[in-house]
Amino acid sequence: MPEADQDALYRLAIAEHGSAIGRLLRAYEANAELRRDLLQDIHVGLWRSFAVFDGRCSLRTWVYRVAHNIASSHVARRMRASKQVSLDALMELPDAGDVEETASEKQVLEKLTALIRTLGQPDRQIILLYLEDMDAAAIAEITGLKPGAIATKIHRIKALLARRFKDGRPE
Amino acid sequence: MNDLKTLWKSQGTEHAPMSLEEIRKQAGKLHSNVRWRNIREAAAAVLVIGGFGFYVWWFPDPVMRAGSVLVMLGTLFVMWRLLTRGTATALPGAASALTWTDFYRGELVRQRDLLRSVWKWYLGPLVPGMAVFLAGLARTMPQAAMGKLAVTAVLCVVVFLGIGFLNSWGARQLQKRIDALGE
Repeated sequence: MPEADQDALYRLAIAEHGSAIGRLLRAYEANAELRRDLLQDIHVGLWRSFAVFDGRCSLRTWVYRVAHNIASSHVARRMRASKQVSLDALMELPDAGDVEETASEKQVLEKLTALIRTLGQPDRQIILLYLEDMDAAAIAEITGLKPGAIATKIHRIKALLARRFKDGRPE
Repeated sequence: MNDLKTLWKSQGTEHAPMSLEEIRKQAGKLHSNVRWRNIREAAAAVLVIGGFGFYVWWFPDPVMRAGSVLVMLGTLFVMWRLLTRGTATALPGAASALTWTDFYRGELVRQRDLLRSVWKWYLGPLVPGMAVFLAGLARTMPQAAMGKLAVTAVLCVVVFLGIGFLNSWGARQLQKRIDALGE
């Protein structure tokens, strides 16, 4: 692909999905300095990937696949530093309940982000895509998991979020 | 639940977008990092080759010299495999746009194969040289020092077998994760 097209695709991808990548970064990396490194890796990876973009999937699917795969590799390299759990295991754990009922939006977001960071893959990817308002079919296209399995996961995610948060606020 | 989605999507952007100039600079830096890693690995090989090259010159025994040459050749082979395999996987490209399951499975398979074949590309090529070198040492050493030589030989065998066992165990663990993905 000519470099001008590669550049144009990159610009379009960032214009349309740049803010979602920013949210994804927070959910994958707590350390601000490492988050900046991850941001660079994702941007460089995206730009490089557009050299072979063939349009067989939508730009959105492509961007999310690249961003999540690079972020997953980043987490895998640092896995020894943090313990990750599955969605099912998280359902069994009691809520830490460290945020007051009158929590601010910032506190709710911090708690939600911390909860997402405890999840391993593919649960972390699925909850993030769910929060980006994607349906099971779109999530299945990005992750490669079966739509039925995604629907089950979404059902559990909803239950988990309902238990941990109420109307956008922690219980 | 929709409130939570709205709240999630309302988060402000933490970083300014990167310019294309910056992207190209970073992409070049990534190449540079890989090049430096390759240089470091090559420097380690040069040390081993230099050491055994010295033995070829220093020891008069032809068996020890032959063993040293074999170790040098084995090290060159290991370096060649490291550089060709490492360079191919160091930079993200089209593979990063695979679905998560394909990408993850590909990574696990690559790591499993690397661990599984450790005798072929890492340990095996060094064994003949080490064996011949130790045999040469046994020919030239006085009888009184044979005990120490035997301990050294056993240690070499234990280290090689230990590395082989750990890699094989690691490959089995990765295979379990690959199998779980197919479920």
